[in-house]
Amino acid sequence: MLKALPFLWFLLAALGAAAQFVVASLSGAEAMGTMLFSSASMVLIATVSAIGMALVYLLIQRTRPSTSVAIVGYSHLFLAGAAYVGQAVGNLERNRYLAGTGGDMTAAGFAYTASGLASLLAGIVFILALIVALNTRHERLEDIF
Amino acid sequence: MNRAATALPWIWATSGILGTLHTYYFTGSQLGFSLANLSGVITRDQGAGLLAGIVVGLTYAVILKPRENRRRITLLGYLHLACIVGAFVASFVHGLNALHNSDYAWSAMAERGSARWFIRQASIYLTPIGFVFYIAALVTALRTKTSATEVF
Repeated sequence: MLKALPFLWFLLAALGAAAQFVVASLSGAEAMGTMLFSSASMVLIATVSAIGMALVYLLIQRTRPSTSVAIVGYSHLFLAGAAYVGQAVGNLERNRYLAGTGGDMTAAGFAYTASGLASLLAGIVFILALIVALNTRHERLEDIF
Repeated sequence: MNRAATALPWIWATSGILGTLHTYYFTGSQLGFSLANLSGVITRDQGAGLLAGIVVGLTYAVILKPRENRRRITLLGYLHLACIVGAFVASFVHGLNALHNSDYAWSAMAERGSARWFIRQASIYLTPIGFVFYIAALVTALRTKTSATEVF
């Protein structure tokens, strides 16, 4: 179960970046560049963080594997996925507002808030994963590195 | 070094509070203060939001427990902090100018190499660069051979 986790994180990073392209393309060909530029910072941070998490879980899987860390890791992945979805929905609503086809920023604000809360919970769950991993006996370091 | 290591989680929490004030000021002053804009107070600017800062601080508190490699983790933690603070300052200057000078809002048009271009680049790239130091700190902690009884 733990073996698939790092690859799912890589997949999440790819899907998250692709989702932002899809969201930007929905605002029309003319506005796509501007929309992509405005969300570039968020996309970059989210992608780098997901790839970083994938590397951390890869290391955990190789050095301190356990069922407990797998369960906590999957919870972390689920919450991070929810944060990605919230962010994509928020960007979609924000783009509609900027393009003049949506009402106001309330829907985007709520989506960003939900995304932020999911991201916060993901951070807390990640701390739990780290505590579990650091409490798991380190296995044959010399054989791994 | 011990003092620096002890202070790191607290400095992170403080930077989170400053990040929150910054984000809430800009989000609120542009869109009005409401529950819908709470996102800025949490983690929209990842690494700068109040709770994000506290979560990162707690993470450092956990990984700084083992004695081995403590110095390296502390150094990486401060490099991470420097990047986030740099991004925060750049974002603050950029946002402040955007608020008071509408022309500044589209800094994409700023001349390459100009001060405003550098500020924009710093606000975009420093946070992910800082995250690389964070991952390096986590990897160092996980590679440290410390038994459970030594950690907790």
